[in-house]
Amino acid sequence: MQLGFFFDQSRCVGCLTCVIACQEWHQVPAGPVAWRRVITLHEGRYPDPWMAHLSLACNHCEAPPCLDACPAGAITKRADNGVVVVDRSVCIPNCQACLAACPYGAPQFEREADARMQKCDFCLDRLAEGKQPLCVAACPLRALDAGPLDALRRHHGSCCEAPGLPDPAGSRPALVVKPRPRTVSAPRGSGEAPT
Amino acid sequence: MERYPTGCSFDCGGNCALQVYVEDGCIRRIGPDESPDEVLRPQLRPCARGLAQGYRVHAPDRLLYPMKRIGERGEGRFRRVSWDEALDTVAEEMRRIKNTYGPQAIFNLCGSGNTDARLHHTIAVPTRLMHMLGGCTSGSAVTSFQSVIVACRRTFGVPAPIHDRETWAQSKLIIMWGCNPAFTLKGTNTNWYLARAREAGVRFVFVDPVYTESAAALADQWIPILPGTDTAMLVAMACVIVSEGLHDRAFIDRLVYGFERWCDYLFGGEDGVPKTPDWAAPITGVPAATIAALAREYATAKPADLRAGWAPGRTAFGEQFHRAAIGLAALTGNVGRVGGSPGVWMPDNFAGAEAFGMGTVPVGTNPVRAYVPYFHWADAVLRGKAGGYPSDIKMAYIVGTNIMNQNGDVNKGVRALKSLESVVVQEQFMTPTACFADVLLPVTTHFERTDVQVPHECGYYLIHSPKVLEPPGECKSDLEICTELAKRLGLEGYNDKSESEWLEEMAAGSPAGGYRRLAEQGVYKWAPERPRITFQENVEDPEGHPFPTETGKIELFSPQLARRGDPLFPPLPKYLDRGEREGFPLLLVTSHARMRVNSTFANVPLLAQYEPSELLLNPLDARRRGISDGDRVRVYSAVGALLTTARVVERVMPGVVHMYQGAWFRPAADGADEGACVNSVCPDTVSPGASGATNGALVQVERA
Repeated sequence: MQLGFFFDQSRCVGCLTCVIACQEWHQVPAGPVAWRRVITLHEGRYPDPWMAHLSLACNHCEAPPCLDACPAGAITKRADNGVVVVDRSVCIPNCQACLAACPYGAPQFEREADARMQKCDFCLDRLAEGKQPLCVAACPLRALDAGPLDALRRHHGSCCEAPGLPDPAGSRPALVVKPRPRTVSAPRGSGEAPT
Repeated sequence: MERYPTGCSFDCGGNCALQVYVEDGCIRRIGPDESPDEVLRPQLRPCARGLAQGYRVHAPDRLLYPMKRIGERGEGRFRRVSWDEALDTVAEEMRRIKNTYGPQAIFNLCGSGNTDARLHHTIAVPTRLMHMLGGCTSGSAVTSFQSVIVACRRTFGVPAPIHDRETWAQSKLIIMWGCNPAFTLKGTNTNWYLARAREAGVRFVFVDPVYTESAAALADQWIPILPGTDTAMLVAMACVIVSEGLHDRAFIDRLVYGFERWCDYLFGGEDGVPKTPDWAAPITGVPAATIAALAREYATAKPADLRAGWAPGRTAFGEQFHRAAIGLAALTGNVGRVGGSPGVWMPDNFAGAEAFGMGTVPVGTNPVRAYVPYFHWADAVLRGKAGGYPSDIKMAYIVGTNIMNQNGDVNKGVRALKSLESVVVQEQFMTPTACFADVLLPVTTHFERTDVQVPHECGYYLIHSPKVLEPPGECKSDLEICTELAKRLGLEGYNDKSESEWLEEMAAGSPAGGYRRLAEQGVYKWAPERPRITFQENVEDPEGHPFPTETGKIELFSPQLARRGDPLFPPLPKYLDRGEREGFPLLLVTSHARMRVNSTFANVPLLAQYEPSELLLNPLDARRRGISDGDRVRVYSAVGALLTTARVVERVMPGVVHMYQGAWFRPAADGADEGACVNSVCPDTVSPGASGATNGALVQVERA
């Protein structure tokens, strides 16, 4: 089984609640590290600007490039749920080979010279209690979802392409996205049930 | 680790449920509401600020001890004193000022720092004390939406909240005018209901000088407009609707007073100027064809929901904006109708939490009846009776507000605080205002006392907020401080109840069925039998339920305003030109930041790192000034200057610049504000309807 995230870019207003919820739960203080990040994208020219956000954690890829890149074997993919985890005791301080390999910038490092990699662990502690990752539980727009990837695809479609998102071909991210249309005149009310 | 269900309590626009995890007297984590999530009883999901507030509660810069000023006022130098010394001094000063100058010389400057809470309510608690002492001068107008209140009272006779949110999807068109609920919330979960409405097929049009986060998420169309000119576009829309016969004649005949007189104004009968889209286009910066098209769309998409946000109401003639928007809703018969709206977007419970059977600490009445528009507090201090204000102020008593930072013209605020004989501040942090205290009293956060809370703007729920932490240092609640002062001032009966006795009394008649039941449940949610559609019964049965106005109808023409005879607050909704623009070609709009609640949370590093100080401006305006993205810039106006960083963006209208309000004032040696508090450059202009006119402030920008 492979767990994954769903992100509804069309709903996201860039409030950063997911980012802070994650930092709060995992006790990541102010600084360069954020296990989930929100990137704001701007396109278009006045008077037709376009803006969207991309909320990204680790996509727990089916073919994780970070895992192959790690010289220490610190990164593994769990057989039971596909979550990509890091063993920080094995990680080589500030090697950052994983960050160079990851298309999504998921591996995170403190500023210290001996910083070891940290990143989204899919809230394994909450998973064990049958709860959603905290970013999902916190999103005020209900724009995030998480669960078995095949179930997410059944429910939300299999799209993994959105403005700002790298080509999914290489790593096969466990991610489903509902993109924000690039034109504002897209048809509405397509009959899709709001969740 | 103990887990406590509780709530937030800030002036952010929402009030959300939290789960606070406490260990060894310290908050370890704050998580969201994880109860079942249903459309009628949704989870009350908090935002980033709510989740990060553990850092605020345990911040190293929390005020922990009573202090007295040493050195000059405003220098921010203090020495620690005992509570007895601090309270004796404050009580003696209050007595002295009252006996020497009369009670109205004490300015009760309490604010909305914590007003969802019923007991530790930052306005009710000090106001009760001042009233019992013999009265005071108080602020009389709401900073956020005074012009909405005034417009509703003069047009509907009562405040007009929007319809219940689950009905929004039944609209054909929602026009969001000057509002960004992505950051202002407009009630916990409102953004979720808006997203659902959009997904159900509602068309959204945004009218705003800025293409906001809400517009980006919802808008089918963005219409940029120059700040302060919104009323011109609204009356031009009304002109199109009536001239093309698209108005709802039957609705108007039954329910509207003053239609013909408004038509006379619209068609130029009064001043020879027909208020056509061609007239409005050069004023507003909106093409005439766009104005006419939106007018036709609003009049024919039935039902349609026009939502006038509060920002355009905070302009020189802001009440005209709200009166005109209500006028359009009435012309098109959208008032009192499912999928329509009254044209305004008021908080449901503005009329008081009495609707939920929950009062607050009773404040009684002000024996001296001295009131000043809150936004003019500094002007009133400096000019007193000679300036037309009701009293000469000698002492400021400041509770639950960073008032100097959060009202127009900070530099005037500095002068005002320096001019007084006495300044007392009850605070949690050394805010720019607190720096000016003579006596500074440290206050608990809502996690350090027990309370019950009501929703901030809308929703059907109550939250029990238990004491989950011991107060740090020697912090006391505002109520404890005022109780101690009351004893020293010999005011019997100020507080003769325990915390739980107050709460039991307040919650006795609430839907939760008493305090004990609410405390057991933590968060009590319910769903009304039928969704509330504002003014539905007035519209369906006007004879049985007339509007509570003089004429019993929706008053486009207000007889009350006609008697007032103020040409700047006319009886009909009109566009009034503000005049002056000399030397300051740019219009500054200021809005709410996602990571601050007004100025609260500005000192929390986890949040502040995501909220850099920025000025948004269009490439056209940047190029003319040789400004590139990321440049340090100086923004200045007739009242002051600030320093910030330029962000050159396509989502702001040319001629308009934008900043988020709430950063803390920090003047440099030359007087320019390095903290980039917007009120360093926004004047303290007040509209004829007593609304602060911050938006559309006239400024110039140059490279620093």
